[in-house]
Amino acid sequence: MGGHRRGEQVPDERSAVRHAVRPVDRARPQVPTMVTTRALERRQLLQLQRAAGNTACCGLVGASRTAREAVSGGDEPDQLLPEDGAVRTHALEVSAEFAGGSTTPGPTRVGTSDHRPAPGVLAADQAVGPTGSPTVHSGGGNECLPTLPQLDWDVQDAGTSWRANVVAMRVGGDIRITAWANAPSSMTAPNTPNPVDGGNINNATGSRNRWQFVIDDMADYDSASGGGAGPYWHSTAASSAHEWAHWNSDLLRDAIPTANWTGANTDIDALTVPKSASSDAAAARAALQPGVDARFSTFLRAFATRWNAIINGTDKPGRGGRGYAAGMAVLNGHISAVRGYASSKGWTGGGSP
Amino acid sequence: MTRDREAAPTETTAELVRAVRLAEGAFGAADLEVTGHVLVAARRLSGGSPQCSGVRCWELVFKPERLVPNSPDELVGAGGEIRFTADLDAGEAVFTGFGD
Repeated sequence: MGGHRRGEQVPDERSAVRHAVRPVDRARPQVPTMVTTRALERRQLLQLQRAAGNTACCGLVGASRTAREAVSGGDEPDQLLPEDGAVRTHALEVSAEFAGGSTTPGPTRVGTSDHRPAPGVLAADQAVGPTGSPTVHSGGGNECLPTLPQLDWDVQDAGTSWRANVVAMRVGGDIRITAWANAPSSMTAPNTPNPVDGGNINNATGSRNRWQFVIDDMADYDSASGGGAGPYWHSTAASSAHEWAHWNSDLLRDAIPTANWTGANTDIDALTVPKSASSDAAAARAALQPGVDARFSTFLRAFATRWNAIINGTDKPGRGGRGYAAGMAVLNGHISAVRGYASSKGWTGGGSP
Repeated sequence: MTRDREAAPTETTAELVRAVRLAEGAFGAADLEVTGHVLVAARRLSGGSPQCSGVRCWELVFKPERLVPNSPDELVGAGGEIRFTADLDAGEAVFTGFGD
């Protein structure tokens, strides 16, 4: 939906194709819940404590530097937990859970290299999953615009060498969802269907509130001819489902893995410089930086190519896009409800007014 | 691939340009601002459409410029489409809906 609408539209007959669109203050749509890295670490620590006792658990603990992620759409949380003090944990797995997304953590690679941890520290080599979430805006259209992922990495002591270690791959961006007109007791359109007695569905000939017309207008949402939202009947929930499908499916489940983030993570983690050439971690980081940048840039180019191919290729009605499929699933619920209501009333016939 | 010089305008060129101008003129009637939007798709509806009186009928899709990348390494934004159907015989374009 365009972001340059001048004002709210009066849903008269002549201009009913104009949507009553306005930015509104409302509760945020349902957003994914992030499991913080810290929460995962604590869970894992507890599991380890139960499994092997505190002695083994304490071997995993070093100095703290782990960032906590914000709940989706929320403010950045305080990065320190009171009970955590200055404890650092190298988690065995770092991942994130997204509503509707994969909860499978990235592959864990432990002890597969010649990495020799410093005495007293067991730093688990790891592949990290993407962390972060979009900022959700009410109004301004219906859009999903990710930003390019950002890499967080550090330097680890690997005995006779220093090596790069991916700490996080952060994703972000903006999702905009604009409330669709919703007048549940008003025989007007554009509107959101409310098929109940006293609602906004009728059987009046020539009315844009007639049940079959309402169904027809929603049913073509994901069709190549006349598809898209409305122009008369749609719902905010459908728009929300559409935009979140871009994030959860197109971005997290497709563009990032297709661009081979796991391989990029593995390659970056394999970068080393000898201690004979870099006397401390700071010098090692400077020496490793070009290689890290080059590999991450390769991933970013592949990511952008894949994301753009998805959006340009499928994010159109009738082209098999996940956003339209998700929105259509919501609209199918509306359609079933309208049809059921009409059936209960014994209404038949009645298409375009 | 052979790269030729720019061809002289044809009837197709003229039709498309006129369709774009009609659609851009229809932004205001739909309470939308044409400024900041760019054309991202155009298709001749060769069989006509319910919004057209004849077969000189074009579907045009615009998108907010900020969702369109400036280089292949940038990300296109999903959504934001604004759709029009231009009826060249009637000399008008109508807003037919949004994308997402």
